[in-house]
This record gives sequence, structure tokens and C-alpha cells, in this order.
Amino acid sequence: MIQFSTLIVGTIIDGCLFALIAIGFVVVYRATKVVSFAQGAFMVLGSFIFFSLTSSAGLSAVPAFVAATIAVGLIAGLTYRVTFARMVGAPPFVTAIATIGVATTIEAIAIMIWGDQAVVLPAHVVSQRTLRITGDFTTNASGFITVALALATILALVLALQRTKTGLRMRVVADDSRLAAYTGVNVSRVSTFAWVVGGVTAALAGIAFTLPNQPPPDSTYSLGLLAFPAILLGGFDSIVGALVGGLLIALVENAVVTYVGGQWQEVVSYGVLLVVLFIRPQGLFGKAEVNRL
Amino acid sequence: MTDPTSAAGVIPGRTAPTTAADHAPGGRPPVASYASRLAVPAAILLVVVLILVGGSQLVVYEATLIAVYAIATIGQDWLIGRTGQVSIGAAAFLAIGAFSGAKAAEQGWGVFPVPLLVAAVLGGAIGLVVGLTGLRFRGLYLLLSTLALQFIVSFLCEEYQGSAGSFFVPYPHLGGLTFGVGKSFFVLEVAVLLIIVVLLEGMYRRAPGRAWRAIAQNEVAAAVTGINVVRWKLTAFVGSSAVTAVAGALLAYQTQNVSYQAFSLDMAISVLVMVFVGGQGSMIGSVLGATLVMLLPLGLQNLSTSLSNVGSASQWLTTNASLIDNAVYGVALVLVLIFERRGLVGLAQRAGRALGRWWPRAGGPGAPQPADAAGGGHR
Repeated sequence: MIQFSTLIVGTIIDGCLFALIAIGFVVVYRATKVVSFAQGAFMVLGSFIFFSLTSSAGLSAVPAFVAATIAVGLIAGLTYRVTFARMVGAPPFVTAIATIGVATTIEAIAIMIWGDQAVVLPAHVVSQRTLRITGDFTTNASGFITVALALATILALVLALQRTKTGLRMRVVADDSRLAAYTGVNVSRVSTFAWVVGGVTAALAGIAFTLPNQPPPDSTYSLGLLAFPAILLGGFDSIVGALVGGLLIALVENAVVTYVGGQWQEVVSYGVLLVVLFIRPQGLFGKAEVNRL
Repeated sequence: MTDPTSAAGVIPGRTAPTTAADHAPGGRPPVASYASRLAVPAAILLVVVLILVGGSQLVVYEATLIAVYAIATIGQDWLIGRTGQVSIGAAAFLAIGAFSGAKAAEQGWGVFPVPLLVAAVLGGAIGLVVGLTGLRFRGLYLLLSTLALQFIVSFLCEEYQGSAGSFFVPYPHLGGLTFGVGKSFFVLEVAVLLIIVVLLEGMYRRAPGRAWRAIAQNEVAAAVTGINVVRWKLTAFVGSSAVTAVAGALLAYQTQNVSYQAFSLDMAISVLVMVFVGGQGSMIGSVLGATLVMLLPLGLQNLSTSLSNVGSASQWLTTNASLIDNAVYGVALVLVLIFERRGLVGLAQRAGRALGRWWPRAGGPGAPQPADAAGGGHR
């Protein structure tokens, strides 16, 4: 029974973490059609900047959190301006490969600055005390924070996309950026803004992953890659799909780790990715694109 | 001179310069191409002779590594540059080749060329499986499925290594000769490289090469013109995977040891950098890309030694060497994709034209020609 409750709690927390990573990917993909392998690198930046602000700069958790996410958002926006804004209209695989280059560079520079050791946050940042939800269901504060961040971000994005002018522009650009340009939307500005949002959510995910785990930067970075099965399952262009895909992949992974063995975790989720590619490449919630012969 | 790639407007859907039509006219290739046909092997041979005559042990070792990666890059370029199928599976196929080659070399029947053939056959078979998925999806989906392949192969190799223990790969023998690591192994490897270059150049210049190029540009149009897309796509997958796996087997011979940890996603990305930075769709480009990527760490090492009197700068360079390498690779990859999608070869051709000199076109009449030349009127 304890095993089962750990499985459920673990699934919800990991699923929300995957969802946070996936949201940024989806926002970037919708606006600029760039399949970004760089989200993991932005997560590393978020984690490191948050670490610096809370330890060396001595800020308390909340202002450090806000500053770190904004900083990464700006870096992501800048990255878009200097690289992908110059590649508009390039075939999708070209920009995807370029994101690999960007990710490699950002990760390398981050490790040059901060080192490759585990990121241990100061004790005042978050309590590691175990909290009981009900019965055997327990977690700690960072688990709650991850879930709250994911749900709040998804809610905020869905509302913003539906209710605000900027959200409307983003949806227009996502539908057809050429038409959007003809109707007077500043596509370039909207795209940059999408990358800023992508950077902010990646930083959220990076910080959420660092709170309980003390991960070295390379495992934060590879988490960005490990989210791909969740992203594909949910659909490249669906924000709600990001949450559902994240939860499903987290369920599969946690079940495999609990009942089979930890070494199977990555390979099983990538196995799911292959199955999804074969059966339903657009994912559960994505728009189908005709790109077969 | 107008740079078509940097002129990207805000409007997407612009045709990429690499897809600009470059149909070779029928009939006989111009005389110049007969000279350029021999250019790559001749250049490789010249460098090899220089290394054999004057190279120190370190130079020979590095040159051997470069040759291995050149083979892997040529293999991947077959798929990426010539057929237009983007794959990040290089490390997976290198691993397949290294593990199967090492296993074969341990057996009594595993005399020299046999492990390479075993690697080629197994690599080709797995390439066929990936190719069958590649028929189902293209572009990004293919990229994702090869990413999955990387994780799955890495996992299987780790499990296998856990049960089989570590490998020891003996020196290759051929007849009564032993090719220990050093100059003799280097010669052996260059021979394999040259065989692959000559075979592939031959195919690229004939009907198969035209079929792959047509598929790279537009699969539907290729099918309409009567090209059997399924057949040629699968051929490219099988062949490219086999060549990459042969490079893996050679790598196992050189390091005499095989471990799954070496065949990481980082390695796959390095090979991708070699393909794109050197120049996709070009033999010289592949060799050049492999050379530059492998030489960069050495260059940095020299720089840090020569800076040793500056103290802190030298120390910073030394401790961050591999990170600096990664950062430079990443930046180079992005720069190439933004400004010159045919890599250094494209850059050299542009420079050659700008100087108004005659430049032997790397791939002869069949190779992708500069977009602005093909389009005309960009100068």
C-alpha cells in the first residue's frame, strides 16, 4: 500500500514537472514552429541563477524565484532574436538542429560559470519536512510547489491565450503566421514573447526540479530531453496535452521504477514515444499535420 | 554579394536555399569534373603520406581518430546531406558497430575484415528497421525516433556490458601481418576510408545519387518522376547505418576497449556538428568536419600551453577545455545553419567565386550547387 501511495504521489509530482517543461516547449512551438531541444539548457540556467540568488546574494526564496525566472525569460528571448529570428522559414529540422547547438552552448557556458557539481540550495529556501496529505500519501513542500506551479502556469496560460489581446495574437500566429503578418500582427514581437514565456516556464521547471533533488546540471539538462515522450504524447501544440501527456508518462515511468527496476525508466518512456509515433504522431491533443507521402 | 540565407524576412514559408533546383543537365559531365573526381582521394592520400613520413605518435593517433570519425560522418551524410533524412542516431550506430565488431573480433573466426563486415551487416539490419519507421514519418518525427534509438541502444549496450563484462579487442591481423595501433593501423583505416569514398562517389554520380538527391528535395516530386522512393530511402538508411557501424568497429579496434558510456548523445551531436559544419552533401566537407571537430581540443591544448606564462588564463582554459569545445561546436553549428547551410565547403565555394577563381565543385556535376548560382542573378 505504501508502494502504491508513493507511486501515485510520485506520478502527480513528476507529471506536473514534465508538464512545466512541456508547456514552454508547446508555447515556443506554436508561435515559431521551432522544435526546441534547448528547454533543458534554460532549465539549467534557471536552477543556477536561483541558486546564486539564494546563496551568494542571500535573497529569500520568493524574490529570487521571480528574478531568476525573469532573467531566464529574457535570455531565451534574446536567444530567439539572435538565432531563430534569422531562420524564419527554414525547414523545421534545420531549426531543430540549431536548437541542439544553442543548448550545447548554453549548457557549456553555464557549467563554466557555476561548475558541474550538484546544486545544493541553502536550507532557508524550502523546508524538506515530510507532510502527510492523507493516510500513506506523503510529500514535502517542494512537491506541493511543483504541482501548484504547473497548475497555476497552465491556468494562467490558457486564460491569457483566451482572454487577452496578446493571447489572441499568439493564437493567430500559431494558426498561420503569414496570415497574421498580413492582418497587421507583429509576428516577430509575438515570437520573441513566446520564447520569453518558454524561458520563464523552463526556469520554473528547473527550479522546481532543484528544490527537492540537488541535481547536478547535466541531469537537469537531460530531464529536458526526457520530457520529449510526454510532449509528443500530449501533442506538440496543446497546452492541456502537456499536462495529460506529462501525467501519463510519469505514471508509466513511476510504475516501471516501482515494479520492474529503475534502469528501465528512460528506455520505457522512449518506447512509449516510438509507439505514439507509430499510432498517433500528432499526440492525444495535437493537430494532425499531413506530412506523409 | 547577396547572402540568400541572411535575407530571411518575417514571412515564413520561404523556400530554403538548399532546396533550390539543381538538376544536373543530362549527358557527359564537363572535363573539369574528371579532375575533381580524383581530388578527394588524392588530397586524402597526400595528407596521409605526409603524416606517415613526418608524424609523431600523437599525430598518428589523432589522425587515426579523425579517419574513424570521417567514415562515421560520411555515413551520416549519406542520410542527412544526400537523402535529406535528419537523424541523430550516429552514436547508436557507432555503438552497434563497436559492440558487434568487438564481439566478432573475440571469436576464432573473427579475422580482420570479418568484424567490419559483421558490424556492417548488423548496422545495416538495424538501419533497415529505422528506415521502415522513416517511411512512416519524416523530418522532426524521424529526428525523435532516432533520439529514441539512441536511448534504447544505449540501454541495451549497458545491460549487455553488465552481463558480458568488459571487452578486450585484439589487434587486427591480415595474412601474417599484425596491424598494431600506430602507423600500420592508420594505413589500414585509411584504406577502408578510401574504399568507402570511392564506392560512394561512384554511386552519388550515377542514378542512385540522383534518386537520393531528388528525395532530399521533394519526395512527392521524386515519386512523380518515377523514382521508387521507398526503395531508395531504405537503401540510404541501410547503407548509411552500415558505414557508420563500420566506423564503430574501427573505433573498437583503435581503443581496444568498448564501453557504452562513450556512445552518448554528446557523441551523436559531435557527428552532427561534423556533418553540418564541414558541409552536408560533400565528401570533402565530411572529412573537413571530422578533422576540425577532432582538432579543436588539440588546438585549445596548445593555446593553453602557450599561455602558460599568463597563469590564470591558461589554468582556466585547461580546466574548462571540454566545455569550451562544446560551446564552440554549438556556436559553429548555429552559425552554419544561419549563414551557410553548406558549411565550410559552401563558404569556400563562395570565397572562390568572390575571388573570381575557378573552383572545382566538390561533388562534380551532380553535387548540390550553390543556391545563388543555380538561381542566377544573385550576384
